[in-house]
Amino acid sequence: MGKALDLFEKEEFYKCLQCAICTGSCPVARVVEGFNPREIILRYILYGEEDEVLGMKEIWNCATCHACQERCPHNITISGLLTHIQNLAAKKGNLPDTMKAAMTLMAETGWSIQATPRSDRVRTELGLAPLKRPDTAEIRKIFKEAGLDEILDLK
Amino acid sequence: MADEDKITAGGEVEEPRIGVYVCHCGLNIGGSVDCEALALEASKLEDVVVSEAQLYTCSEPGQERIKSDIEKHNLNRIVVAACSPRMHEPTFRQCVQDAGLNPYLLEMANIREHCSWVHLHDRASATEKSKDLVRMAVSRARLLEPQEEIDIPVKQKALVIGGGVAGIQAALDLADSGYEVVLVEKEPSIGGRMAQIDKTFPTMDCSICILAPKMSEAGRHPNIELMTLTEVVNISGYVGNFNVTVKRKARYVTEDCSACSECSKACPQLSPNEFDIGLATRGAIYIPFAQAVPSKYLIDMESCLNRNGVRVCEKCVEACERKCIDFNAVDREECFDVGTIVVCTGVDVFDAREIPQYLYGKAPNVITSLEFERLINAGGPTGGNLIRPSDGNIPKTVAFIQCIGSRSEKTNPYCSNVCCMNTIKDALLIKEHWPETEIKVFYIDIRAFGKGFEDLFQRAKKEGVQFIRGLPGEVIELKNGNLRLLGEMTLLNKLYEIEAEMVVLSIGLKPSIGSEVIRKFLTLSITSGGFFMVAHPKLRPVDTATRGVFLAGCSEGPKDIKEAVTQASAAAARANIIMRRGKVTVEAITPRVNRELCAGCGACVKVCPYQAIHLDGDKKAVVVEAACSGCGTCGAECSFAAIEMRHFTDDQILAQIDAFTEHEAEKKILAFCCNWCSYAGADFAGIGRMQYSSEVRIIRTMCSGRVSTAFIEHAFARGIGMVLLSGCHIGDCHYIDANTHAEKRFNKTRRIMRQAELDPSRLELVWVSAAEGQRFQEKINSMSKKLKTIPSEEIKSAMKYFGDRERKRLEKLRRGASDVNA
Repeated sequence: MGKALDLFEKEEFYKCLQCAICTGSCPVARVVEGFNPREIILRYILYGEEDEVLGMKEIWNCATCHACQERCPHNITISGLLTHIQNLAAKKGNLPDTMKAAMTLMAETGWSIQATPRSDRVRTELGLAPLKRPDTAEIRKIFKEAGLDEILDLK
Repeated sequence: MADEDKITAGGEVEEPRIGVYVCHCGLNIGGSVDCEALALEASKLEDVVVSEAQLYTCSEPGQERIKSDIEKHNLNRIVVAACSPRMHEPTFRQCVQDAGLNPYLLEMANIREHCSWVHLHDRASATEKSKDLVRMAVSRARLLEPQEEIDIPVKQKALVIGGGVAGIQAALDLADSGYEVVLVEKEPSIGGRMAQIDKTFPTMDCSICILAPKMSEAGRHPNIELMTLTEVVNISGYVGNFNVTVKRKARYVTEDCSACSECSKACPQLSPNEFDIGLATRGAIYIPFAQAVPSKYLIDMESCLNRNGVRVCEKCVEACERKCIDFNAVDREECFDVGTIVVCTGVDVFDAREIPQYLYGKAPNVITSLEFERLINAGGPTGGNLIRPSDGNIPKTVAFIQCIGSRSEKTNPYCSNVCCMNTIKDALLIKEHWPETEIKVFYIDIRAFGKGFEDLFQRAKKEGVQFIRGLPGEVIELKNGNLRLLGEMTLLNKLYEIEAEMVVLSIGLKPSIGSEVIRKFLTLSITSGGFFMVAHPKLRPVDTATRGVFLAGCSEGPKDIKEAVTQASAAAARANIIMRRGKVTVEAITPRVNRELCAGCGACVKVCPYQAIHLDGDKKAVVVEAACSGCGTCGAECSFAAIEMRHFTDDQILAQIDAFTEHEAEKKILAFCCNWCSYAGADFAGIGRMQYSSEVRIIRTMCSGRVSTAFIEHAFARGIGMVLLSGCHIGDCHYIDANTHAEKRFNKTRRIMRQAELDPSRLELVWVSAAEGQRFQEKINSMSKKLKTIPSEEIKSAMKYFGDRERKRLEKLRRGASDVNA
């Protein structure tokens, strides 16, 4: 994996006091049962339960809103850890289908949301030029660099 | 004296006969250094008569061996390769003295803090390094000379800075021992934080009830001169003879005040009362609290209508029967001398506004634990009724949030020590008055470590106080003034949304702002949290590195009342020892001027931080020994080699450099460390087992100001890889500002290197405090990386360039000397 994706520093996590301000601040934890940033730090870093955490489906619920990180008394990069975990989990095959679909679309069309025949029609009616197809070759290059080729089943 | 016998008629010291003693220190040294190999290597060095390794050199048998060897082998120099000289130099000095040798003929090689402890896993390198350290010590020992110390008298008077409970206790103990004491307090009354607190834990005593008798005793004690509304503006001098200047702010009310309160009733002005943290008001003329000592009113000129000398209001003057009001009073400075100083500058509290999600300062029903003390106190603004600021109702649910501003990288990294027990006490106080109140304490860890603390914690649980592990992520204010706390109960792995009518933020403690000024005058070191550092955390817990200065109370670190009082009595006892003895011995490290070589240029006069050198009628430098502290910056500045720093002579330092640059100098780093900060910082790295690269060889001087450019140039001429100059941070120098001269010399040498097209980054400068072991470690590791990249061509060019420079300089010196002799 590329270094750019290592958004966290393991050392700083040993400062974690388990004060739970992160989970207490997390908007996702309020609605998704089982998603708990404090517990992820405890298990993944402090207890070393890496494989178990990488297999959790809840890790994909992080909204990357950074509220945990902003309020952490020790400035620990919790959002960075979540991204890191998601990267590793994806490599291990823990990637939700919805995510896979979105990424495949991106790779194949350059869009994260598909342009439909209807949207093309509306554009014509409004006198707008048809949408330009993005250069997917560029995007595929980035995907390849990021190791997504091995994870996604791309055409 | 015995050592005088050893000085021959010509003033020449007889041939050196050196004994080397290598200490295993159990496995502390022996675990990482091959001590037997080291002793063997030392035995091969010139002038070494005896060399052996011992399990513990500091032990009785270890010392006895040195003493008997001195006798048996007629040794006249002793080298002990063991721990830091900051640890055991006094021990071994005493040991050699007992055997009839002058104590200055001892030299230590620090192979523990600077070697075995920092190279734990590299036995080969650690052993090689220790051999160099012993070579350096033997080379210096060969040139050591006997010295005679002088005694200076100690003023039988003490200064106590800060009139909190620690300061009061220290002042009382010293005064009871028969010494005059000046107790300085910046506030209008003594009493400090303890006077503000309602009850104390774990005994639930009324705080002011037990403090007030001590306050009045301090106020009327014949040996205590109480100076309130007073700040220390300068301290100079040294142990036994500190010269103190204080600024006594005008009170505008004379000593005749009987505290009848008529003036205050007449005063038309209202201001927030500081003692009640603004929860109540006071007049412009006021007394801070009922039990204040001195029991005298004062005028706050900031809020008085008569400020700036304009007289528009006479209400208090008219009300005062005893005619005590004096608008003409002015601030005045006072000077006095003391022998010892006890620093009890106390703490400030954390400003809870720094954590915005808890709404302090925005939601009125979020208060701090200190405000709580005033609200629950019968003498406080609400007569002891815990009421909600928003509507005056007594809350039925109260939430305490712990660790506010403590245990956080963003605010204070340390635990404030008192907040857990304070909250437990506060919760019990609420239960005592309003048993139906629902109380929840949100915490990370409950630290109930002291005697009787656990019992109080259990009692709180029994009384129904709920302890919830997990701090709220945020607090939301509701329309009715209630607060909603959102967070996670970690023990149940469950989220909570809890409503409380009042939230108490358990705020932490931080060093007092005023203590920074004191720190500068007394050149005290601080630990990472900003509190004063003691000389040794275990064995000298109230001494500072500055002789004659002691610490007590929270200035040293957050602590409860009992600990503060214990420390205060300890500090007073330590100060007592110095004053009872009546004299202190000063180290014989002051300079000697060679009048024949002195050119009368006055460079030494300019750099002396103590004005201890002047030029006499013949334009020759003269040192006033009593004023000199021995930093050595004069010696480093003298271009005529006319100043000899006793016990840290040029020859001794150059010999140390030569000793380890014989082989593979290009692979080594020379570090000059000052005794007080950077050497202690390097020791601290050792104590903390902070591992770093083994190329560095440390030479200790008293001050970085001692390091002459000639030493640095000599090292480069000998082919050294890199040189590090280190000392106390600017402003923290133990010799006022002598380290600024080190910085100048560093810049000068770098400039010379640049001009000679050498790599100036081979010379580095770093300021390291006694608490910054990690900083030292990081510096050495980064230099070690750089060291490996220096091309041999560069080393050779520097050797040639600085070698030529040195030869020229020495030639010039010799010519100058022969001119003088002619």
